[in-house]
Amino acid sequence: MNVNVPTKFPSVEWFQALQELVNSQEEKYRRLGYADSRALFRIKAGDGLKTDRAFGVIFDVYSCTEVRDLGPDEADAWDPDWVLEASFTDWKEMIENVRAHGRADSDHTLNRLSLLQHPFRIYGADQMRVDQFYRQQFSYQEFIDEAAALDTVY
Amino acid sequence: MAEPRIRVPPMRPVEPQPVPSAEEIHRMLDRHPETQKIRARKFSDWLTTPLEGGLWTAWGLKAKPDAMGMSYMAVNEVSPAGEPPEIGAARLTQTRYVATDPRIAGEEIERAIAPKYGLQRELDRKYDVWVDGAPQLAEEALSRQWRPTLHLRWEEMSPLSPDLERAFDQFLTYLIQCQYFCSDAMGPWIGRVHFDFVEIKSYLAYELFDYNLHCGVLRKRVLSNGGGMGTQVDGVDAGVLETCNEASQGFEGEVERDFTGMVFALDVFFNGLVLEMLRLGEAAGRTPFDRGLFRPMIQDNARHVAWGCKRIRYYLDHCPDREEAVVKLHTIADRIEPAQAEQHLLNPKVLEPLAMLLGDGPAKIEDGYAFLRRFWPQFAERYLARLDAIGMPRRDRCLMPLEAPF
Repeated sequence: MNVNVPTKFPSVEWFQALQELVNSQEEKYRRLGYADSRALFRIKAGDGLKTDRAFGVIFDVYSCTEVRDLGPDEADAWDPDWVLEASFTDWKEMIENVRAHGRADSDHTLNRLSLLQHPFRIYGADQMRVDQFYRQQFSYQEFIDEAAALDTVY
Repeated sequence: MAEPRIRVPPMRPVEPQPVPSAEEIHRMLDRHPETQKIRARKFSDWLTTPLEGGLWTAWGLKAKPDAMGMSYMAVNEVSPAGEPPEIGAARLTQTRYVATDPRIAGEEIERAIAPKYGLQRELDRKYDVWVDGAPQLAEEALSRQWRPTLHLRWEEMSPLSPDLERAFDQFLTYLIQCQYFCSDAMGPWIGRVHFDFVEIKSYLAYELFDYNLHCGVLRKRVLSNGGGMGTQVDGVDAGVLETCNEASQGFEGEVERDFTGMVFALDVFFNGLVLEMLRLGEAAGRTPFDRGLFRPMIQDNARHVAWGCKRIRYYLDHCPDREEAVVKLHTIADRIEPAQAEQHLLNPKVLEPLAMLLGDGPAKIEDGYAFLRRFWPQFAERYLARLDAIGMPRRDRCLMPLEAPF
């Protein structure tokens, strides 16, 4: 894929670009260990983003098998194991940080950003399924860190 | 003299046997039928038995790697013993993948001639040890192991001010204590789990590995950046230690042991708290290296909590008397929640260094306490949310403070 082509965030193309990067580096993801989640990434409206956006992503063993743009009525039916949610502004700051440092610096890891449930929040209907995020967080952090290779525009 | 906390039942009596002389043993072995066979180069039944219908377990199996690799799931797919039984075979001292001797016909005879007690014969009921997705969990534990000696960039560790180094070393000293406690409490149970539930034995061994790996990496960090081990923290095991001891009955005597009670106290509750402490630890670390130490430990610890929750859920769904089981687990929770809140979560040797680190120095310790106050509700909230998911709601009787009492 051509990572130099500007990719808009939030968009299904942006998440698909991450998916493609994951799936082109199977050895790296094998080393991290197997991951198995139905994730939902939610971007709250504001700062120029008119409506909330939600993207469903499926991680299966060492690859990312599905990315889907979920409409307002589809997010619940996606039945995610966990939801990662933040405002558009906070998503932008995290992505810019990843881009600037090649990966999230220690102030912008998913755990750090969600520690107080603000600015990011990780939640779900079943805590045992939410805990899958923490059990396999290296893989999910690496997924977000792939954004370092993208020329993200907003 | 104080009453011992645990009443240890008497050991099974051992009759003293006369010991034969060395010469007698030598003569006996010389005449032994197996010795005669070896001399005559006659093979034993492992080679002479037919591959089908004899003593041999199975032949012609060709497990194929699944998406994960050559996993437990892949071999279980082709093995005649892919599914564990409800009750472990009485005489089995091998995994369930090895068949019991077919010349011993029938479970009744097998049980009659089997040793009745000891080690893996103790936890031989599936509902006492199993979890849904046990093979996957064991594989996850194995595939996510890490090697801090090699994988961490120790050369990138940077010095801290003496105050912050002291606070960090104290916090790590506390975490090392927690990890050793878990290791010691869990370790002796592995041998009690029946071989028919080998995925569980594997998983527990990996969990034990994690604890000891964490102790090692934390100790290396403490001893390598100009500081040193801090002070011992009394009380972090409050309530949990007593529960573990009662559950194990001191590992003495022919008595029932409560593996599930131990798992509830250690993995669901205690490791649940430690998981939050590790998450705080990442925020408390003052350098990228120190923060990076915590991420793999968070991952490991979250798996330990997940194992505990899966265990309790399976137990409640399959044990003979769910109602009684729930009462027992609530009684354990009634004991450990207040003891842990008082002696672990409010322990000054844990809170003070954490607040100092979160505030970025002694002068801003109040900022650290403010951070802890904002975080505090998550200790109870996540624990209660896990109990909801397990099917053992406890929101109306939880004895942990839901807000920071400071």
